[in-house]
Amino acid sequence: MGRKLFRWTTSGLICLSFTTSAKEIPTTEASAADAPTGVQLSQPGPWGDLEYFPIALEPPDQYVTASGHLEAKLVWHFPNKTLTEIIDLLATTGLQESDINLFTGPGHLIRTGDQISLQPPLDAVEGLSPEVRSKIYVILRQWEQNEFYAKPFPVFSSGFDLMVHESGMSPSAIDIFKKLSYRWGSAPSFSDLPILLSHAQNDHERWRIAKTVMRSEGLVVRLKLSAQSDLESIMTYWSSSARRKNLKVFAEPLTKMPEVNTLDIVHLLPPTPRKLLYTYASPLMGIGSTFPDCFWTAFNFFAFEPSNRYLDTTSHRTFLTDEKWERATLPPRFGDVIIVTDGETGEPMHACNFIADDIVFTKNGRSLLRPFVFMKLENVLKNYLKSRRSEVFFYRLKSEDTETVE
Amino acid sequence: MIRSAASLPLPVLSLTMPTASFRRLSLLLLASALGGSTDLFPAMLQGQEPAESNTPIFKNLKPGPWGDLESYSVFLQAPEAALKLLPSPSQQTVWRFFGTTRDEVSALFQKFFPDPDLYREATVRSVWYLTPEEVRVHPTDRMVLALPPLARLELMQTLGKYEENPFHYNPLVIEGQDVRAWFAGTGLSEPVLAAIEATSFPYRNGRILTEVSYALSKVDNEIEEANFLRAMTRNRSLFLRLRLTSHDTLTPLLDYWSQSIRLKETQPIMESIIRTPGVERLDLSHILPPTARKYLYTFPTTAEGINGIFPNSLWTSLNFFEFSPKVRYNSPDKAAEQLQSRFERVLPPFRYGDVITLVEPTTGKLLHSCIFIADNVVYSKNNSSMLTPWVLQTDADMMTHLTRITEFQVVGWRHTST
Repeated sequence: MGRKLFRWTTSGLICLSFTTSAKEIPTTEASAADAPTGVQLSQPGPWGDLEYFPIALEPPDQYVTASGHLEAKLVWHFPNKTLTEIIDLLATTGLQESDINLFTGPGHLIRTGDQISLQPPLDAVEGLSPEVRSKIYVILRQWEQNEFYAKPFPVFSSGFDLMVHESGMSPSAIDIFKKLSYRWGSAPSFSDLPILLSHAQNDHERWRIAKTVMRSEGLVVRLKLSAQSDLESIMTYWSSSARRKNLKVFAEPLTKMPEVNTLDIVHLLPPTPRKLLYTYASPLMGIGSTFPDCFWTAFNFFAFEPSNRYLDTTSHRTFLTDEKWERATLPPRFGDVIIVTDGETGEPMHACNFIADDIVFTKNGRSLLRPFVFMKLENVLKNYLKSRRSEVFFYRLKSEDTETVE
Repeated sequence: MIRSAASLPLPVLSLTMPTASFRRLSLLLLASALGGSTDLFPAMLQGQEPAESNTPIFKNLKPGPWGDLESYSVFLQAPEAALKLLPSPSQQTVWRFFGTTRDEVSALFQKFFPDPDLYREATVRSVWYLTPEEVRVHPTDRMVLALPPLARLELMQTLGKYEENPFHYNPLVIEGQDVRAWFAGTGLSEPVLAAIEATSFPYRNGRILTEVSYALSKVDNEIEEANFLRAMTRNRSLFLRLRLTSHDTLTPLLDYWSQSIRLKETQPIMESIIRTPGVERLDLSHILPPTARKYLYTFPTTAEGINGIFPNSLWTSLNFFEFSPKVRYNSPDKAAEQLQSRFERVLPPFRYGDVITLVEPTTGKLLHSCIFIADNVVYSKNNSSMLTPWVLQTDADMMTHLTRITEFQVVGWRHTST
């Protein structure tokens, strides 16, 4: 297993090292035992007493159709590799010679110009040992043409049971889903949608499999309140300097009604994340083929109307030079932007917003199939800290710029 | 021309609306067709539902296809930044009558003040300014206090036609009958509360205060004045929670709450709730479309007026399912165009997401609209003011706010893509 090292410093910088070993990458099922899915409590803090529980989100039908994944075929691309090089690569994975001959033989080898790709038999790939499959996937993921391997579907860190709950998948398909899931770094992942789809007993189950694999996990977070709650200080935390919304009016009645003792924190969010939470980005939010990603989401947290300046590929540079934001001192506060950078190149890999305790608001990737959600920071980082040293920085909206915040 | 109460348009639906949910509108429309009588006028003043307490209440909505909904109310108050934009009104009461003569105003006062001494005070001892355009009267405190409720209503309807009478045009609405409960915790002193009690009058499901200047004259200091202005922006809104306890009951709920034009699927969220031990309720805001959720329980910011127009009820209703709101829906003409082209007329019972419009009976002009949520709850913004929030409220509470709408017909619309 890999080893994570979190180190918090008072300079506002968290150095986070994430090391991996050769043994760490493969393994079989994403999670041997499902994590608890009931209500859990956060660490108490200035945010008050929070409770949270995981939920499953499913992309709208039209997004699933538009993704083209329902018709996806199992194709392995090896850009600019000769057949000999491909065979050599496969041999390094422990794949049997007979399988290599099968995969590169007639009917499975495709030449497009001078490019070679393979369409191995589904049952043969399904029958591979987890170790061999994992090693093949390590090779495949280096080329973005191998979409399902370079960007696998995330399996719920909160557990498989929630991911497939009431999914409409047959028990046997669920078993195969579990069997073919694997860990990339510490992130439970799945790449074999074409294989899984081949097990559908009918079109309906095929559809349900696709929608289930594309599910995302999120958290519902609630603020627990009682007559003893210190509303002033709790609302000061959520008000974040000079927000215009009077949050206390939402919380105060709850301290007087025993039937209602939790306030969903969606009501404590600024307008833009409140609007987007648990939704999938609309195609209309994009410019051309560029859609909101983690940077757009994080940088627009306090904006009443999101700025599409952050759709640009250089958005993080725009943000870092924006005079509205400053490096934050710890402890982090509500809405702080968390930027994860590649420790070697300094290039930002991900951004999200601190909410409370270890919960963040995030959109993991530019894909329209990835919703805006609350997640535990640890689970977000699993998807970005695959094999290298990374650093995490906090940025805070300058107080004089919060006047326009609702 | 000032008309007497007897010659005011017959507010048939207005009289009965406070007692009815939209589910009963077909009956009301029938009542409208049969005509009405000014005999019903006092009923309008009284309101016919038991006044709700203004303390936080936890309630269950009536069961229906929407499932098991619980509600509780919160008070919303405009943010300080908006209050800073609000000019402090004068403590001198002014009634400005336009398009009328001194004699007509005197005749009105004779009806309002049958006591000869009061009438003399109104016509002789109070200050009048006469111009070709208007008759401006500065009533005495005694006159303000002595107005009977029916006269207050008529005065509101007369003066409220003109924005120059700001608190007759947009009166202070107290949702419920208990003034002290409504203003609890606002820091208003006993004399101010007494003044509000004395000069407000029952109207539909609540009370109306038009004589704000008089009440303001009772404040003791600047802090209380600030409290008063803040309290003027109070609105009651409902929080709704959907109880989800069994997978077996989910299908009809999904049918009711799911809309194909939504950008998120409701089922997995509901399933997650049912599956999670210790969790039975889903805040309704998670079911609302993104734009509606963004605005719910908020007051407009100055940014929303950047195009020169602040969102009104039509904007709110027609943008309910729009991911990116369209400014043009503020216009009744554009809103009507959109309704005709993208919606179809529907009769009660209404369902989630239906646009409920109040239209002028003779011309069909759109006067107001809201979104039907469930039972008697609607999503509404009751005017375009920066001091009016987006709320979930009962239809009766909404009607209390619509003081300028007396004659109307109700027309329901459903998005054709749903």
